[in-house]
Amino acid sequence: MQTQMLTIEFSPEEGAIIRLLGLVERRGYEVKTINLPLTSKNNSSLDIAIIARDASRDIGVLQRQISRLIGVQRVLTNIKTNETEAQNV
Amino acid sequence: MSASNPDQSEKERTATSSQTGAQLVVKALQDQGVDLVFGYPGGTIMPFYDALPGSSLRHILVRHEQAAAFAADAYARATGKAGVCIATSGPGATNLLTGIANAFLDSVPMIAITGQVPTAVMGTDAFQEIDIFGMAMPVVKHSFLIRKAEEIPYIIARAFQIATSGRPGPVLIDLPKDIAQMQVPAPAPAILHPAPTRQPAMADIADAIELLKTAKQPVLYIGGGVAKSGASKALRSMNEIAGIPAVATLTGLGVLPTGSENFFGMLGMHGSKAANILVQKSDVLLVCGARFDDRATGKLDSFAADARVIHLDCDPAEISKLRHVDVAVPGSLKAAIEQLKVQKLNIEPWRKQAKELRRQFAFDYHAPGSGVFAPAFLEKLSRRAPSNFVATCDVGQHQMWVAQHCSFNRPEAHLTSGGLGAMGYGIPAGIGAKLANPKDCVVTITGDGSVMMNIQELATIRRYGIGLKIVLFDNSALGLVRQWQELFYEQNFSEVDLYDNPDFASVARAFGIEAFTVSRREQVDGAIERLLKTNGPVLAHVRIDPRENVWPLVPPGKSNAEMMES
Ligand SMILES: Cc1ncc(C[n+]2csc(CCOP(=O)(O)OP(=O)(O)O)c2C)c(N)n1
Ligand SMILES: [Mg+2]
Repeated sequence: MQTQMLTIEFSPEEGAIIRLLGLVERRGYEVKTINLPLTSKNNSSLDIAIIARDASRDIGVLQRQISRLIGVQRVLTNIKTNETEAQNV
Repeated sequence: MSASNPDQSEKERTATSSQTGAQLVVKALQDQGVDLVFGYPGGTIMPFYDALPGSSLRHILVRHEQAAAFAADAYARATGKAGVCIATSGPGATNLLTGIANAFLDSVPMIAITGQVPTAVMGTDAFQEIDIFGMAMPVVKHSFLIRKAEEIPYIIARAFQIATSGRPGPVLIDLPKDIAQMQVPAPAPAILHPAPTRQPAMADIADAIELLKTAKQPVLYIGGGVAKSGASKALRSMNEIAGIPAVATLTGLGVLPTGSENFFGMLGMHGSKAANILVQKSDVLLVCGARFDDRATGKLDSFAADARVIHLDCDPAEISKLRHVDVAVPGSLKAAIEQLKVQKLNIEPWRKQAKELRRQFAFDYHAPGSGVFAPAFLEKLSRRAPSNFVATCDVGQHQMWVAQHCSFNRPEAHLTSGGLGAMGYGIPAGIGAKLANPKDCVVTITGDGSVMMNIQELATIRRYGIGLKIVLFDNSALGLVRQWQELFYEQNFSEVDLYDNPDFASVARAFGIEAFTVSRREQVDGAIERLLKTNGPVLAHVRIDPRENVWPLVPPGKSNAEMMES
């Protein structure tokens, strides 16, 4: 299965990182690499490389599941998601 | 109540120049309009309990924290406001967890406040220290660990805002003891209103209308989100014109009244055969506030395989999660339904076919023998109950019979643990629902297995004189598990026999609750009458045949087209 990159911009509240990584794991992905660049007080950015644990996982769904967490500002992927889906959401 | 007189409470606030964190919590709850909380005290939450007397908050002392969470959950479902539950750290907090998970899976607004050990000893395995903030993360919409007492008003206001906005859910607030005891200058109260849900896009609505117009065999699929978005009325009006045959999930029951012309029952594993056939045959599925749960869809690949799907939901993350959607309408469900102005669809042959299926597969209430037939009991009970009837259920066969056989005229009339399927929900939920709307005729329907998971709450009912009616269907078994062992595990009955149950009527009486036992069919009318006319708490212990099963049924992993019948 393909490695996918996610960049998550979030507000660095207590617990925010476990909240993000916990969700990614729970929704069926293995986290391969993590990078947490130094950023400003109110904004952090988490770069992760992930691999789905089975073929049925859709990165677009994961992206929206991360986006709805409180404190997440933006979720970017390097993979172009299905065009129609991107329009619908 | 101070909240009703802001000038005076403002004066009071400035008069007492400093307050403890716990006093701020009490005040903040009052500022949010909370009048009732469910909880249980203990070491680290003692500052809160110290600040409680003399406040306008009514505290209901449950006898197990799980019941506090379930009661708060039902209170929220019944009122639309966030329910509040409170527990101490460690075991108190972990006992809340099942109830928090229940609220999470059914999208119920809830605020759970837990005591925590003092910040200085957090992380040292202090007495009754448990990382509830970490443990609860997968089952909360959000959580806060309070580090500064002066942030309490804002955090509590924000917690209520998060719990009640968009797709509702539980929010945990972990409150270390030192923060609760700290004296701080009283900060200004904070009020945050629910954040408006994003409006649906006009273009999406137009696409939905276009697709609906082409439909020859459309089906409206109603989920729990409809009631949670306050969209029930809008949906009823919309469908009065459109006339689309409708089905509902377990938590969507009551949005369309049970007996109404366009309603064809529950879909899914224990749904009605008519509902499942209609969905399987549909060419357009209009899904409102539902999430394609496996108990509703059966084998996903074969679920409504020929249908194009329109999905209206306030949570974009639910769109195309399990089933590919042809037209997605993310955003406010209420607004979307209001704007979905569909003319009467030209689908008379389909409507006729639907009604024929409903007639053909209508439930049969004639059963052999002279024992009590639970489906018939429930059908009668809900028919004879007043229009403010509310059923709160436990989990098992009896729960499925309630969903199949009771009539509901509104979604708040049916409170059930849908996503989590948590045995033990019934009685605490009955307490929450009855306290929320004391005039309602609230009936808890439980089983001999489930009732034992929160039987201690009979003491709560007794203490507060809560006029809850309890129907306990006693089949001397963990019936639903027994049914699966019979059907899918070659009758290898393993650990499902409850032959040595206590005498439940005596148990209830020992708690000071009126109770009686019936076991014969001719006693049913009298039992229902007695239940309905008793004002105080009352328990009807109803013995039923252990061999009775829930029919029809979609076997696990099978398509909804393959329903087994008795
Ligand atoms: C807390 C919990 N534990 C276990 C289960 C699994 N379970 C589902 S139904 C059931 C049997 C329930 O028995 P009872 O309350 O007597 O209801 P009946 O099916 O007999 O009507 C069990 C054990 C569950 N849903 N919840
Ligand atoms: Mg039973």
